[in-house]
Amino acid sequence: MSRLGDTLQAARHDGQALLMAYLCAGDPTVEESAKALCAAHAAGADIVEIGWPFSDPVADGPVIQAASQRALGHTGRAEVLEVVRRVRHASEVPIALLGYCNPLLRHGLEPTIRELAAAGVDALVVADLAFEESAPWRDACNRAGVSLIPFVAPTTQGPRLKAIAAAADSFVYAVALLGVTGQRAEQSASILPVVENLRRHSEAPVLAGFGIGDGEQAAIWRARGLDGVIVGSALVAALAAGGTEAVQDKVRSIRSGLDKLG
Amino acid sequence: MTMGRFGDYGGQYVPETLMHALGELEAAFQAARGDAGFRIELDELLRRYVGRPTPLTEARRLSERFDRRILLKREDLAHTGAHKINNTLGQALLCRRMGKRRLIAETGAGQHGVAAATAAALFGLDCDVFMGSVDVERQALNVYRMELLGARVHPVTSGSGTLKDATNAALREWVATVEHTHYAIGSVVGPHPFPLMVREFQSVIGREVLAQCQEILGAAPQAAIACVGGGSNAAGLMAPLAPEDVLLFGVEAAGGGLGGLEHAATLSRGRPGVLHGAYSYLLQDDEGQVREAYSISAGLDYPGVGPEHAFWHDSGRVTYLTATDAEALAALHLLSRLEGIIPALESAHAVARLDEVVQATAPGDAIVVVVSGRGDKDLDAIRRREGMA
Repeated sequence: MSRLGDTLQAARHDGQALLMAYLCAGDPTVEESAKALCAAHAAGADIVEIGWPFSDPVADGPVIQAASQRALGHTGRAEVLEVVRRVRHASEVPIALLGYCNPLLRHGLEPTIRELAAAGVDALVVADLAFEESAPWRDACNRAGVSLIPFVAPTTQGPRLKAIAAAADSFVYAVALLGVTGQRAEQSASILPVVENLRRHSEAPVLAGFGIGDGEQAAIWRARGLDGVIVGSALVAALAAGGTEAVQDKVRSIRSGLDKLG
Repeated sequence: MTMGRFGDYGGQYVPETLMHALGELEAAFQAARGDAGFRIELDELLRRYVGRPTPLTEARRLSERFDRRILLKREDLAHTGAHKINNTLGQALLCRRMGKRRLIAETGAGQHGVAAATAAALFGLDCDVFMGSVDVERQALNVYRMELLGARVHPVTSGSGTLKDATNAALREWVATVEHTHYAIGSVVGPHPFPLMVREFQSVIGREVLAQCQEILGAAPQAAIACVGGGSNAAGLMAPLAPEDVLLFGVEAAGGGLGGLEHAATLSRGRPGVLHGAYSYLLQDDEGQVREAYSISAGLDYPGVGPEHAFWHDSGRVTYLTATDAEALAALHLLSRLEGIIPALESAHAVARLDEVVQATAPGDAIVVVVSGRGDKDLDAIRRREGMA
């Protein structure tokens, strides 16, 4: 976890905003997705987030749904691990793995998380794991030295928020809107009171994700006081349209948006 | 801390955005359960609007054939033609109670969509129904019924274009509109409190069966059987009967046969996992990807099953059997000719496994079969299939 911890600490020390870049493992191939993730890091992403494709991604909008579908035929557990290993082999960038519960449970939670950690995963983000169900997952992650990333959403309230804040051992994923993943023209402010409340209970950096897809939008979140942003669909679309170079261009423009006030 | 478990099964595996709504729903449901006014209003609706209690019909010729006393629980005679209305009226009342003005629903065969649209019309709620594009085609008449009732039907083209994908689409829509929208899930599936709540609303079936058997037989029946897709009519039958000394049977769809992949026999052939918010059995491959289910019956064509059924399956309280497409069709013909009742293809699966229930009982024993819906909606599909055969 030190890779991730060091990155978060360095960003805090330097007053730098964080950028987590998502791509789906195996889209379009194992090799190209690994290459594009490395390129995203080289272009300015502080953390890369590797998606484990799932047949029923209920938290995802059309762009990531389509990426999942493209990858599914040739991307199983072994291939996801291979993408992780390739990225890890290339650099020390912190790696988050984004998945849905079922593929992670299929061959046992504990061994799967251990295997992910051994391949180089630093953090686990599980889109359909509510905080209330997360205790066994958090235990397994703790034993493997992986950080389980908690979510807050615009609807998160009351004592739940406090418990979620207490569970954060690296950063918090703030879902920036009501809805699924995918860039939006408008950047809803509905998460801001939740983030403000969260800050009272936790010092962990808070990264906003969902709906954010370009430099201008990233700058909005920076100005709103978030510690960073998570970008997925826009990068998936860039990769599909223009390959690795388009991903790098996109990452650079988001990076510069984030650094404007930095 | 984990909520709403049936043994190991159930829970709340959903994106964080939905947790507040699930908590709110749980609170509204528990409050309504303890509120005499709510119960009276729902009972009145079930009586005067749905036409409950539905009859328990003595199936005389079928009884002769099997040498058992066979009683049909006639959910096909409920308003809208299936048991689904029991649940949607309850959820529409809750929706109103929570101050929400819009109801969304997923549907496979269209029966739940029609029942949701009906309840929405009755309460003046906005209604959007998500339906797989394949199902939109094979259940065109139900699409028109929903539109007549004022609902908007959204064909879902992602995945296999069936019930699983419609459920994904409804969940995504709910995440985006959760502040003013209630998602009325149509079966005993999904995150807590849905499996418990839908079972409670459907339990009117089992309560009536017990009362009617008391009246007709002077006792509980020896056995009862119902079809299982998600499992709502079966759960509604079984929950009140489970404490009694009654053999219970559920019948899943074996589609083209259990040897291949073309079936929806989740409990018989699936493994535990997480789909649509709950930990239960599901049809999945070795990678944990959810498989497409298949059945001639659109209402059973679902790769998951309610978590309480998973619990009853493991505990052995309920025996889960399967019936193929061909067996269900034969049973549909049988019930039509012997009793003058054309059952839905879903319900025909239950009729098809009467042979097994006969094996487990003695001559003269009483067996209750739930006819969960009527067959009108399936006539086109059956005619096409048999025309081709």
